[in-house]
Amino acid sequence: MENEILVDKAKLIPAVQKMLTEKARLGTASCVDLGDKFEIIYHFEPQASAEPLKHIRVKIAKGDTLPSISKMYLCAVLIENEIQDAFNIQVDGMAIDFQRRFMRSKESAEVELVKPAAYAPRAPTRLPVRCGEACPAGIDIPRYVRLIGEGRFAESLAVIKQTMPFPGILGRVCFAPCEHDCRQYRQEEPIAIRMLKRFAYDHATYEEKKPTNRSGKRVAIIGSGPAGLSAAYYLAKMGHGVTIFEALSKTGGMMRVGIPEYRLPRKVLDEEINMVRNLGVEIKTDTKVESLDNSFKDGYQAVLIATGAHQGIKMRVEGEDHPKVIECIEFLRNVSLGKKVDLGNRVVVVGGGNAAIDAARTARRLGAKEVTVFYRRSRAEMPASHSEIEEAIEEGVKMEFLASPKRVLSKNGTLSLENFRMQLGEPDASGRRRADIVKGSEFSVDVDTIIAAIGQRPEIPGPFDLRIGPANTIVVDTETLATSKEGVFAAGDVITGPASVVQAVAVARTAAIAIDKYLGGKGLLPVEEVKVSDPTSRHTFLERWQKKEKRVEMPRLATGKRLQGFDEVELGLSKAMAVAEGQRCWRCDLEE
Amino acid sequence: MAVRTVIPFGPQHPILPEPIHLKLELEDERVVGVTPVIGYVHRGVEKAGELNSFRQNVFLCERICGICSITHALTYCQGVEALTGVKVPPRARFLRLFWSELSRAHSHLLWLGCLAEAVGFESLFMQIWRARETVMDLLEMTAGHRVITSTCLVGGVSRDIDKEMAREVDKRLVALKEVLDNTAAPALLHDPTIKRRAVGKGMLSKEQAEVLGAVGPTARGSGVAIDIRQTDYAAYKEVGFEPIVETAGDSYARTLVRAKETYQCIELMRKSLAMMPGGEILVRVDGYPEGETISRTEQPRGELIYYIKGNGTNHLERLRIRTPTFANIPTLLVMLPGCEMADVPVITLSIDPCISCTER
Amino acid sequence: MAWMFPTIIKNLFSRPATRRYPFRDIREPFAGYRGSIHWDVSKCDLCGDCARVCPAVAIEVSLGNNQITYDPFKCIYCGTCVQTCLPRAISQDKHYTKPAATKATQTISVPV
Repeated sequence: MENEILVDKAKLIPAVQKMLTEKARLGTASCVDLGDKFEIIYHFEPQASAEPLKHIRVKIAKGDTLPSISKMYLCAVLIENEIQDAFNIQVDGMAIDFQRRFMRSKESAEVELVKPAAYAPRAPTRLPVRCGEACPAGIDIPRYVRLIGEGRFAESLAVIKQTMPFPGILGRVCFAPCEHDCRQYRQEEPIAIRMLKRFAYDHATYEEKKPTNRSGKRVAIIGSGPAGLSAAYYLAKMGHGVTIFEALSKTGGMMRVGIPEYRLPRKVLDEEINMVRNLGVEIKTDTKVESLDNSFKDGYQAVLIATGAHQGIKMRVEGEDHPKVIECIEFLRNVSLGKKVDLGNRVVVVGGGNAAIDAARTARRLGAKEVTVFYRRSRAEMPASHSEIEEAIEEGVKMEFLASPKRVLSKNGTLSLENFRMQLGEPDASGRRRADIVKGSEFSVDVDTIIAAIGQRPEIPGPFDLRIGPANTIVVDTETLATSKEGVFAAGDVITGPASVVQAVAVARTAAIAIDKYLGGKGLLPVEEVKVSDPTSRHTFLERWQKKEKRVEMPRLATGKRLQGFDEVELGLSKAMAVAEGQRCWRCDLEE
Repeated sequence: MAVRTVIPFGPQHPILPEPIHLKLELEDERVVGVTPVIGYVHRGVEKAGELNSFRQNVFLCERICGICSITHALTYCQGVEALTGVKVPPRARFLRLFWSELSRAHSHLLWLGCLAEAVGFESLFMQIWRARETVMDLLEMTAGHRVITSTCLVGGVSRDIDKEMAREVDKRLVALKEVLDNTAAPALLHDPTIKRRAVGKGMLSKEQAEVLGAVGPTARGSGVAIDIRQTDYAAYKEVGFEPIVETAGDSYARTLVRAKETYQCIELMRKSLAMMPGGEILVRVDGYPEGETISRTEQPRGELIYYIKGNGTNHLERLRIRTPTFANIPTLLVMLPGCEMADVPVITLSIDPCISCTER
Repeated sequence: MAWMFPTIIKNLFSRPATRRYPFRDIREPFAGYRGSIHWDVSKCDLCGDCARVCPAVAIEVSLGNNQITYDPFKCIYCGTCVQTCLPRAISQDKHYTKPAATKATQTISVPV
């Protein structure tokens, strides 16, 4: 070619620099494979376009690197990347390096397109859901509700069992924070998640996988309530030897002695506890543990205290030590253990929680004709669950709101309760409105029995020698649930004060993981994967054209039959009802 | 010696509905060569199709072109439905046919008006566009918007036409037919001005049409009887359809094809409303599109091809669109050379260029 | 030529054929016209589904600030958000959003 300059590698940059000072434009470059060498020719267009092109030729040996001219002519990056890719020549110092992904790679037949990271397709995800986040046990609620809606009851039960061992119990007694957070709650038709959980338990079976390898360690659990049983379940599954020590003659803790039989049938409770026994857990009843050191001496490497909160809180009114003023939890325990309790006809229950309602409904079943619940605030602030209050009213329990006891009077053998009228004041720190005494508003009622259901506290034996916190709860580390004593852990109501079954189960899970780690394990809970295909989209557009569906109504025992005994009041959903309710779910966990 | 000049025709031109850009090589007043230049309204739609989820892409595809909006959405939906294995309910297929034909009527009426304007017959242009307003009102009444209908969704359609609305639509279609009978038909069939400007201009023989791959009315005006509606997509099989063919091969033949197709559209719409079965109009689409497919429909201008490739995620891997005008532009290379410069607008218009489709 | 006179006289004294938009003869839009988008804040629970499905990315839902940011100029009025909202908090009016001199977004506060 005319107007060409031959350079060797070292002189390439100065030659191009000369072109730059002459204000020549880089046209393109060519590369020729000469066998043992490569020849690269750069074609420049001089500033005055009438003049002919100028060329710079450079030869480099194979395996040698080519210096980049892109610092002077940025457009050269395209050519140089192409040369690098097509001829496998290493080019040094390119301003932009596409790293050999510019052209079709000679090795593979596939064309790799350069895609910036922002264009990467989204992997299908399941969105976080409000019901799932509200559940203390972290159950995959949308999935199991959806499976019931599809008629796959066994798979639904398996999903529940992934994170929570007792669907039979919680399907009957859980206070269902999930339903309060259900997005359909605003339309007052939240999905009946608890009823569906009970349905899954009643209509399907689940085979528990027995643990395969034993760790050789032994754990002592004090208390066979929900926390103790759950921790035993998980620890047994992780391969440890577990023994539960129960002070009473029957297992179950608050589930047996606090929750009446018409809410949680003993058959179901015994089934669930036997399930835990079948995993190899030993339960010793009528055994009260007095000293923790003895446990360690007896060959246990770790101890979990799950004794719960069973001591009733006093009303702190004058005259409450009268024998006919009985404490709620003691009353319910006596009834559960089969002891005879004589209430008379007129019973007043002081309190507003589920325990008070349970006591009132139990009193009705024991034959009391007039049972009234006295609560210091109004119905809206009552902590008991709505279905409980409804059923109590159906059974003839009367409610007296804005009344608080002043003192207990006993005249000539008749018992009477003097009360203040209350009025609602400003909301306090927790948001609940305060109850203020209306001066001079005292009124009295004649009663046969007063049941005090103000609240409960844990009771911890002194010899345990643990750090005790407010309201007599054991102080634990928030992550490991370890107490102030080495090797001793605590879970359940004994660390939180009276809470719920599901919260006890959730905390027990954390405790089991912490104990496993303490005993040298990895803290890995065996989670069974439920291999069921999940849909990728909702039915949304069609849902909009469907009529607004109401929440399913739980069929209940007729009121007349209820008071004859302690038969279960809630009868359970039929298959058609459960499937329809499952299909009503909005499936908030799916995209679109 | 003849003076050669190169003048640009378009992209902005008073008679063009779309910005087609042709470089015309003229010798005095005679066209000797033509070079189409494409890219004026390229918007990167195919790349954008990879960024949206496959359900959101329907709205993107609708907006490729305003006049053939529903056909783009329909072709895309058909492709994705093939990839996800969804069977569209029968009522939805009839509704899709209804809106496709409505869109075709809209397009042809728009084109006839533009043709009238191209020959300078402005009052006929106004009359035909007033008739077009009936079609726009029908679109607004049934679909919600006058141009972009947004009714086609993956899995069916989003709106229904109930009995009352169907009666109203039928009434208006009959009125439209009468209006066309009184204004457009006599003008197109008998007016000497239009005939002088269109007959014998822009000759495209049958062999040339086949070799160049012309589609739609451009091909049917030259005697090639291809119409993708014969492949029985949507509900064309149930409603019954025959393509309209003219053999003359000039601009007038193409005009006649489109005019007759407008009447055929009205007939097909009335038939589909009468024959529509009951049932649901939308089914749930589960799963993600995986695999490749080609989906073809008949746009007002010809055959529209969608190549859709899915890779099992929410986003498509590739969306490739071949629009009919892209196939018809090469016919200009044969039709234009030899004609007078004053004939160029009418001949270019006779292929019904839709450049926003071509250049996506 | 003379035969045109009756038509000319008629056209001189008759009303225009076109509508005197926007002053007279304005037709009410058909029911079902996809016009401006409105939120019913008593039903919205800030789930963010509308923002996820919007093809034009015109909606932004902020759970922390309890507000929805809607851009009526990015919106394509397709109605997908209306059909996706499960509590049916979004509705579409049949009157279109009027043009404006400057672009702005609408911030809708959702009470807790």
